[in-house]
Amino acid sequence: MNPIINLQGVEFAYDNLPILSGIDLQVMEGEFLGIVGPNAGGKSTLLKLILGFLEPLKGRIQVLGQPPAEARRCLGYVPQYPSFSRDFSITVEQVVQLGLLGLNRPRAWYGAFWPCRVSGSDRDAARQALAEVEAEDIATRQIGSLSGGQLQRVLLARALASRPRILILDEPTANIDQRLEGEIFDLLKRLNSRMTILVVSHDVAFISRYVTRVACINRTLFCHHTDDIDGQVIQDLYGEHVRMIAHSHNHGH
Amino acid sequence: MQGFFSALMQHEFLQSAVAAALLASIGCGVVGTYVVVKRIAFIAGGIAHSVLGGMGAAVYYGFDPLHGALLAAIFSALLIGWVRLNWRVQEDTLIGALWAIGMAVGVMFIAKAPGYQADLMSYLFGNILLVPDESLFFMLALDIMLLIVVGAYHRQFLAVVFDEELARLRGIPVGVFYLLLLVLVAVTVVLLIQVVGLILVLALLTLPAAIAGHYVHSLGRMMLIATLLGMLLSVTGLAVSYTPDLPAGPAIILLAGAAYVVSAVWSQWLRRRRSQRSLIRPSAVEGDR
Repeated sequence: MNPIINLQGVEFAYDNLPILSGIDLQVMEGEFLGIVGPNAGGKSTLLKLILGFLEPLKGRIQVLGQPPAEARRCLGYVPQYPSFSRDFSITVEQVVQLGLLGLNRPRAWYGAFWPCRVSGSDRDAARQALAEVEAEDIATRQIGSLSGGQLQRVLLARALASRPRILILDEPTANIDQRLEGEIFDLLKRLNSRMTILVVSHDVAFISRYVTRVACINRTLFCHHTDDIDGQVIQDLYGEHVRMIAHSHNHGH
Repeated sequence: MQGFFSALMQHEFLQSAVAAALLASIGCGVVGTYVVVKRIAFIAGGIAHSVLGGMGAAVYYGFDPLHGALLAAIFSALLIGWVRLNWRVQEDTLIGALWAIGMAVGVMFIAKAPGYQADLMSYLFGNILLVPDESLFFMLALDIMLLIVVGAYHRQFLAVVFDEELARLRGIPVGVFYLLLLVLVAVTVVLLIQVVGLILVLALLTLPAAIAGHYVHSLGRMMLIATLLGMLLSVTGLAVSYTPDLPAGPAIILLAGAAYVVSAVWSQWLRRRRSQRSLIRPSAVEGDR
């Protein structure tokens, strides 16, 4: 079986400051990969390379056997911080419909300039995506009136609306409380039965209970099976002494 | 007021003035909405002021100043857009510089224009009572072009003004549509120059849309209400200024400014009252599930 995402010898730097070097990563269809590592270790940069927002200095990246920019139709992305202003006049439903933008246009170069309308099937797909994240009841609300947890669900629905084969999330639960964190990851676990998921997190212990494999990034990358994560691995990754305390988040199972 | 309406029946120049105000309001409502939500008023100001360079050059070489204005507006829109997209360091300084340089070039050309000395004041502050019929057709053509482009690409523009990262992920050429949006701003600036002049353009471009934004929550409705408000404000300003023989452009702007202040205070008060109510009845507050 060919990997669905394939990075070989990838290097990246911002203005001569090396961020990633010698990255090899193969992700198979149906995996639920957690990506962990210290701040500024290159986690978000890795996602942006896979999404095709950044070009590697060296090495090769293939997503679904194509260059990342061409595979974007099949990718869903949930950013860590919404990159829009919260007081923008737009409803939840419209935000989710934007996730479907341009999916039906021609593939040729002029497709980028094809006028787009919201079709009936777009509306249905957006409704369905909102139902999937259990947020149909807020469909007509303004984006600015949502709580952090609701906003996160809406961003997830926006990513799901286009029925992606690969779902990529950057710290989806960084700004919400632990009970909701568990709910979001339970949902991801269910979605994993039909799509490959990559999720960046800062909480190794927490995601270990959900993901199938953990990639540890601090400029370089090592992959571990979830069961192999121990204090030594984490210490090597963060470069200083970190105590690993076995614990569980009580989120009402 | 009454004098204005009876004069409107008699004088063709007043009918032209009202037509110009209505035509300009369409552009100001539609494009002004994008300017307000994307927060590019400063960029729009830079485009508006550097237009004087093109008008001055047109006067100097004997072309229609409005055509010179259109070319200069599109050129400076593309230049400022290029600066914003590729030269993020000191973006505001560069736009400020283009703003002033454009005006300086215009003043130079106008000062040295041979023969008939063009009236600088009417470019700066508008002269809606002297809009020739050709200009009305030119404005109509610009409005039609504007509506066609916005009608075809509204979704792309929405994605670019709302969330550039998402637009890029969905394969929208963000740079191209951003520049196209600035070109629309340039066209609108030229529409409005006839009515209020290039110094006051910024107010008529942003205030009606900002007032609409206080009350409605979708871009389409904002555009519609801003257009109607622009029509109401500009025709009322014209009427108010007519009898005491005040300059129409500044009268329109003062009216729009007053409407904005009243609306901002009123909508803030409404919002505060609503949030107080929901505090009294906590069941009305929807929290996280």
